[in-house]
Amino acid sequence: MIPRYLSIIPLICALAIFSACRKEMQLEHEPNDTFADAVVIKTDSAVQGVLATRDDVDVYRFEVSSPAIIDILLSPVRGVNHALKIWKGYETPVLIKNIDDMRKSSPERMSNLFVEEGVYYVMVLYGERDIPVADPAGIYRLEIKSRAWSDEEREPNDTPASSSELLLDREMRGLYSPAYNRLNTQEENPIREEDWFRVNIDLAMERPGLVDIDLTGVERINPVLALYNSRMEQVGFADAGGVHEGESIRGIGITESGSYYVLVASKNFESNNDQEYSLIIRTREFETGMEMEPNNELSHANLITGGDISGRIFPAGDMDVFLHRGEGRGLYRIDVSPPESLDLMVKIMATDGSGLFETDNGGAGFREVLPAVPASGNFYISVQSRKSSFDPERTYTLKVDRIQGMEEYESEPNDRKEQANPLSHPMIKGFTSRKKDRDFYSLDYGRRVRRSFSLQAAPNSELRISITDQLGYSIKSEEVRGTQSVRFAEMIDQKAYVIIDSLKENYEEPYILQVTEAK
Amino acid sequence: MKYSGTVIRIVLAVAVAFPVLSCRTGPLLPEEGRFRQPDTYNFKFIGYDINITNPDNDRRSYYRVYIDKIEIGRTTIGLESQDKYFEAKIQPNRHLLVIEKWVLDEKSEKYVKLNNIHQPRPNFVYFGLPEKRIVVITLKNDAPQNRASFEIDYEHE
Repeated sequence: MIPRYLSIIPLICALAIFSACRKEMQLEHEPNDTFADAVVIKTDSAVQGVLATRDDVDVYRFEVSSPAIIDILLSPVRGVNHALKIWKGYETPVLIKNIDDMRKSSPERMSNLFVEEGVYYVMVLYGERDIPVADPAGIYRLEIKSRAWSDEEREPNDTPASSSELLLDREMRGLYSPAYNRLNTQEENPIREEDWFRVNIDLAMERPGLVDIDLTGVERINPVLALYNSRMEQVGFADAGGVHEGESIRGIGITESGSYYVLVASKNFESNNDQEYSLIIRTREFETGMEMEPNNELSHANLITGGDISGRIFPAGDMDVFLHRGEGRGLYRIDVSPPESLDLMVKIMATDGSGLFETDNGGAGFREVLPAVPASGNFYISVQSRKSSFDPERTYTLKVDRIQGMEEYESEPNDRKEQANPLSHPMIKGFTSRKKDRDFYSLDYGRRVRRSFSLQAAPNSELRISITDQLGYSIKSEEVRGTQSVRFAEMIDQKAYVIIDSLKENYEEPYILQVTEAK
Repeated sequence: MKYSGTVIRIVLAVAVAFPVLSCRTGPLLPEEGRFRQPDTYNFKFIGYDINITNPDNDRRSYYRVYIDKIEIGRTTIGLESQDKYFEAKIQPNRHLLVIEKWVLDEKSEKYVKLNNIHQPRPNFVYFGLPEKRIVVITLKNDAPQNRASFEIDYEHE
């Protein structure tokens, strides 16, 4: 017979099991205001506490035995602006995160802190923005969860020095968490939470290469993406997308092996503690005849060799600058053929950066042509897109051709009478350089003469020829279109100007103006 | 005998006097000597305005010249009060001269034809152009009245 008292053993066991299975909420116990008094907690657990006085600080300590990702969540307390600080190290703790969204009644969260073996402290305290309000009934809940690390950023990676390693062609994940980094005191983007990655690039035989970077979009986040070289010079930047959208950097040229740094940040200071972004960086060989970014400034201009070069307008606002090396004075035809998606503007600049010519004659897909650009020696050409349009895939082509027999051609700029080309030959060829282009030519005979004027228009063009008095006021005008020509005689009283107005443009072929003695 | 001596003296006097008289300098064709002979032109037009009292109203201007209803050119450019010239070579004949006044419109930066009501009146004259003459027609226009008068002359040496 089993003794009767033994019959209660199963009941005791059941109660014990029940008790063990119940999740006990740990409570803070004051004083826990210092590292020495820290309440020890475990990962994957929660603790409740209260900021009981206006200068109360609650410190918790947890230990980690192997690398992991920690998600720290501090629940909201009504009417209280609280904050979190995370410290690493047992004897001399180092502050590694200061998390404060600067709002009352809102939670604080750091969802992907990378931890290694060691001791960490979590400090719950009042936020800096508001005057502390002690509320003995304002119980917070601090929860710490852990998970394994794999191919993701290692927070804190808030500076280049603490950057996470990024491997080529391998996806890296990260979170826009927390919303602010109170430890970020840099002048340009203070308190912005930034994720820095470091990638080592080895150029085979030190041949130039191109870098492409893709960053996926995340709900509520308007990201920015940047690439820096080892000297921390920004060599690529993207801020083309808006909220929820990703960013890409294409074709950044690199000419030296070494460490490069990638920055990912939320432009709008928003956080998303749950949806990860994906970052991937790739390299490819530099294509001859293709631009090499960054070439947004004169000092980084790409040299045009062989007369033509291709480029991409990417991201939005991208400007490509090219350098043409010329010998002596020459006349050049500059032709930029864009893809259908781009409406390009082309500008010619002297070596000191001053603008010489520009063209923006058509819309998307329209070829921009500067048919006769006179230049001495070197000059720069910039290509950019109107309306911030961009195309990460399709390229434009820039061609530069030197025109032979430049004395036969007009010399732009001659849009005003002060810039008029002297007519020293009986025949001159001129181009329509832009919409409503005006070309001025000056005549100076020193006596009263009668001259015959003949103008032959370029195909599909429409021109007006005007003869002026000595002051440039028009006396006689004739219009001509198509391949037709017009001829008339006019008396020139010592000096005069010939003005050719473009009424319908043909940027390809020249018109021909002849001035001969009238019979 | 008395008479014969007298006759002889007369004959001798005439014989001596004729060559002397015939060698005298003087116009063989007096009229041609007084007028300039045509060279590069045989027609000249001069036009100007009078009675302009305000310089602001003295515009840069010129005249387009029509001979026998064909535009053959224009004058030089000058203020309305200044002489403006046009020369041409045309066939000797009787001709119709019509002029058309153009003034500078500074706003449009070009010369525009004056409205008909502001054109000189009359704006024509018939004239004869003989051989070996340069005909000079001078238009004097009373600006306030738009009343024109034409003077026809031959150009003098």
